[in-house]
Amino acid sequence: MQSRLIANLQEEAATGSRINRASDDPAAAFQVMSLQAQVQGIDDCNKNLASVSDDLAVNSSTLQQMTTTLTSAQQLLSQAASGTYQSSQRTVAAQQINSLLEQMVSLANTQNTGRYLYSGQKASTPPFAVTRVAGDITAVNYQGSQNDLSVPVAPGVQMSDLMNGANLFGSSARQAPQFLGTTGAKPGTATSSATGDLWLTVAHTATTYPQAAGVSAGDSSASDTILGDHTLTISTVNKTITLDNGTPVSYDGSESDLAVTNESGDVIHVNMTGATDGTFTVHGDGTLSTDDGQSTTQLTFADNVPVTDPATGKILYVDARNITHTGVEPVSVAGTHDVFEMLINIRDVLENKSNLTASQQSDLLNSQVAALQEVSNVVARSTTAVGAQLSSIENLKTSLSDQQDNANKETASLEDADTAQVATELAQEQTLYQMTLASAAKVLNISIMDYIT
Amino acid sequence: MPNLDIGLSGLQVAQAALETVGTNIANASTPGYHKQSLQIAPLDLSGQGVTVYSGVTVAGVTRSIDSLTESEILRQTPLQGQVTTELTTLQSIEQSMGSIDSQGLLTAINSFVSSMNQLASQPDSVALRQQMASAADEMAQEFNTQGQSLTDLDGQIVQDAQNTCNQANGLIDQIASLNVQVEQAVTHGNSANVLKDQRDQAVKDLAGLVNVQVDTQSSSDGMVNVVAWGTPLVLGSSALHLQASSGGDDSLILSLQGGKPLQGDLQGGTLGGLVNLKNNLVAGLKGNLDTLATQLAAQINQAHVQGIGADGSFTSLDGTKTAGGTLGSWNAGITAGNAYVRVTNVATGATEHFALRVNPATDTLNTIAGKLNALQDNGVQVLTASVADSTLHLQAAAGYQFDFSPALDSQPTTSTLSGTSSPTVSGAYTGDSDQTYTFTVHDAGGTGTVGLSTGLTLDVTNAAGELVKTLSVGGGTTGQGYAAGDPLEVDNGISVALGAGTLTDGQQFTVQALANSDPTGFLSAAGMNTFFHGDSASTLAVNQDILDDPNRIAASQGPDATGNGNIQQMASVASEPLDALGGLNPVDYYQQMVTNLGEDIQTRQARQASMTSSLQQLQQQADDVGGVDINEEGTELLQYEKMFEAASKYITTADKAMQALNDML
Repeated sequence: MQSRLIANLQEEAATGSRINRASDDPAAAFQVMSLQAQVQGIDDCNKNLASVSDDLAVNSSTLQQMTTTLTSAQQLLSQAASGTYQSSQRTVAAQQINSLLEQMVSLANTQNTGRYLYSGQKASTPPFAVTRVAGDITAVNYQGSQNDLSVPVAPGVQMSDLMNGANLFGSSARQAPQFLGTTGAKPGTATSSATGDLWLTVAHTATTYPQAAGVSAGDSSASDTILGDHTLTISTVNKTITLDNGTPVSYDGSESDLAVTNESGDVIHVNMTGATDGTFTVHGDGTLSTDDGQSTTQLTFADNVPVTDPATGKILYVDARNITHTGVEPVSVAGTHDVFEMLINIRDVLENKSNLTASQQSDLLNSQVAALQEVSNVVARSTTAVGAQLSSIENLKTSLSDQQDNANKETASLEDADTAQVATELAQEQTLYQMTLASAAKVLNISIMDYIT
Repeated sequence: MPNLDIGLSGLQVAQAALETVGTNIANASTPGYHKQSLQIAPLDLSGQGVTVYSGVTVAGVTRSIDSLTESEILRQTPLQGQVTTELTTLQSIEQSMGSIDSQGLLTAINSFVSSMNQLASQPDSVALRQQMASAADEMAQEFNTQGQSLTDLDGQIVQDAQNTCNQANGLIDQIASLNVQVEQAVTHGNSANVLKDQRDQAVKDLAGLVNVQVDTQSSSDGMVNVVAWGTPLVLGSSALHLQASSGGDDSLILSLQGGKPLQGDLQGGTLGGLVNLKNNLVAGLKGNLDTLATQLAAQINQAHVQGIGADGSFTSLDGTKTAGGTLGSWNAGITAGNAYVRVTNVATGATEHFALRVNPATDTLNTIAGKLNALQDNGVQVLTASVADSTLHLQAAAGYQFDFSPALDSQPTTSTLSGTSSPTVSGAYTGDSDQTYTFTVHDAGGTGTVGLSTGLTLDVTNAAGELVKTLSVGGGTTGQGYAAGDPLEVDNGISVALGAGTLTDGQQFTVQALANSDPTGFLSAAGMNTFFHGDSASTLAVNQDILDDPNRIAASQGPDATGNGNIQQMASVASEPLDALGGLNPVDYYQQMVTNLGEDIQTRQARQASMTSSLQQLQQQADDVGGVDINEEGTELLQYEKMFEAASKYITTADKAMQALNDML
């Protein structure tokens, strides 16, 4: 009995642990094992937390660099939009914007330990694919995952580690489209699915004249710019023809291609043969397109003409009732811009690829100021959100380490042998054991046989 | 006239007494020896004479025996024998499980869970996948080791039982043969004390092995009958032998040689302990360990089957289950119902779920293969299923891939829409059970245009016909209505987007949302994309495919192959209480197992300690009566030496008296 006690005490002394087997103290052993599992779980959380925290730190600094980049872009833009810029200066600004764009794309494709930060659950796929034409980025498309990679960082707590970049760098608070041109097109009452900035090309197809007017479409009628109903006044007395409230144009009746311009500069080409006196309504028909004329929609002058870009399937509803002449109408859908598309647009406007007039260019640039502010705000919001996550990680770390300390303390209090006590007990048991052995020896020693002779 | 006979009788008695003392001293340490004492009585030497003078005679030699105590010892010995046997084995099991701080299996389970948690943080990391595969393999091996050591122990116990039976049979033979010798001694009027001591010792030894009861009443000729567990082992001179064997249900059976198995609760003695160990304690531990291994594997598999590995869906897949017969005969708990195969058209990316009807009562792997071969996408056979070497093999048709993910298909399951607008489903279903949502178009004008017509709505009802949500997909104030293609949240994580175009009033489409693509358990039972295989602790193993290529670990629930939805699901298994584990989670279950074993050991240690001291006390008590006290014997030695001396003196005196008389004559 004593020798078993001594063996147990020796094991306690050697391992420093009061419970070496479940049978030493089953109830405490269960707790010790649960606590060990808990500590292991906290360890996992700490590892995950460290990896998330590392990613978020890089994420946060990347977003800050993006904010800086966007601030530079905003400065450039507001200078360029002020109107004092010459076209050569604008070209320089365009180049600067272009390099900012390249910078943004490269930031958006930032990797940490070989994983893309903004690709969500597709950590090994670059989130933003670029399309280049002649070396210039013409489109940046998100090809990452739609879902954030949420990682368990504490019991019951998940935290976004790798994020969906499309959400970080683009806003998704759709507002009504704004039409910035002069064609008379307005947003339809129906909700468009078009996003960002796009160009609505309003083209002319044919001009029709009332029979009563006697005149007909001229040779160059294809280049007429009127659309919808316009007033044509022919005075056979003065031998003049007037479009709307424009300047009367003289004719002699033999012209086959007389250009008549109204007060807005819209022009029709009229074959004057057979002109009759009176006031008539002429009508220009046309098409609408959001992909630079590659696919067209018949202009019906209705309140909701759907114009579809077949490449993206996105629809722009146009209120075409007041369209009066052809043109390229810049359309901006506020709340749907993304950083890259913004920068591409600004660069293109500065380079003036669409041959805009100076005032149009200026108007457009001014309109982009708001849009750029919108995406800057989105990035700023993302920066704040990531910063908040980073600070909550610090709290989590503290609370996890507290939990771990507690679990370790509890384990120790359950498990750890009191060394002093063990030593004392061991000495006691050994003394007892020796006494037992000695007294047994004594008892066996004394016998009457010693005394019988 | 002095009688020499008196002296002689004295001498004889003194000599006999000295011999008795000598025997006692000589046997002081002989096990089972009981002190013998001489019964001395006066001897009438005078015939019928009046004068009373007599010698002395030995009336008998009796064993000093405390029968009550001895029978109590006999009653308690089997209990101690059992407790000692059980304790030794249980302690060796506990020893083999490792110490509290390094519980081999517990550490392995925790590491496995830990590896899954870490993989959840970087599901794209090959290193972490490798780590998880290794941790799983280690855990499986740890299960194997413990399972195997219990199986080995099982064999050892049977072996021990057979050896113990042989030992018991030796004692039984000895008792029977001593019975004969005692009877002979008794009938010849000789002292049978030494023989009885030998027999008692044999019975006592036997009591350590089996739970014996001794019946001395029924035999008048000095024989004893020995009964164990109600079955006679010794009847007078005949001995019946015990034998131990393994029963059909792997239980330990004790029987008489050539007889039927002993019935009832075989408690007591080493053999009782071995029976209890084999049939209850070790069997229980083995059962618990197997339950834990299979449940853990089943839960992990159930989740894994439905996940997607880092390399995406399969073009071909081999099952790991080798089995013939109906699915019901596998005893894998397969229930009737649908299993779902998700087939992806690689070119379009479109997915479609095919229901596979499973009926465990009638289906075999071959009929399942037949059903899989019949699945068609627009007239194209999408899968080629075959059964080779009793395992299921699946091959996707060119241009198709497959998996068993319950993820939503992007196209509606059924549709009666005739307009130009088409719906697209997205999101991940988070509901607990399968659900079918029906979307019904409402438009006052008969046909409405998405994003344009005011009042164009979709009513969403669930399978129970309850209205879940009304989606407005028409127009509104400029910019405030629905933009075609924008996803609208429906219910439980599901979103639906309507493309541009028209919708007709009253037309419907449905979306089937699966919570589980393998509710029947067939896919995991057949080993289609499972993580573990094996049906006991000692056969648990990680699938070789996964060890070879850790990218096969299905960490994702889709749509992206490097997501972490499924690995989180798998990691949570360790902390999910399971009915099959008595409402405990796997980790707690194992901890409970270890704790219960510890408790079993602790109670047995206490019992053994109290039993031992109680037996020691009883033995001391018995020894007080039946033991040889050297001092007492020494005293008696002196006493009888004096008696001898005195008797001799008497004879001398008598002789002198006679001499004197002779001289006078």
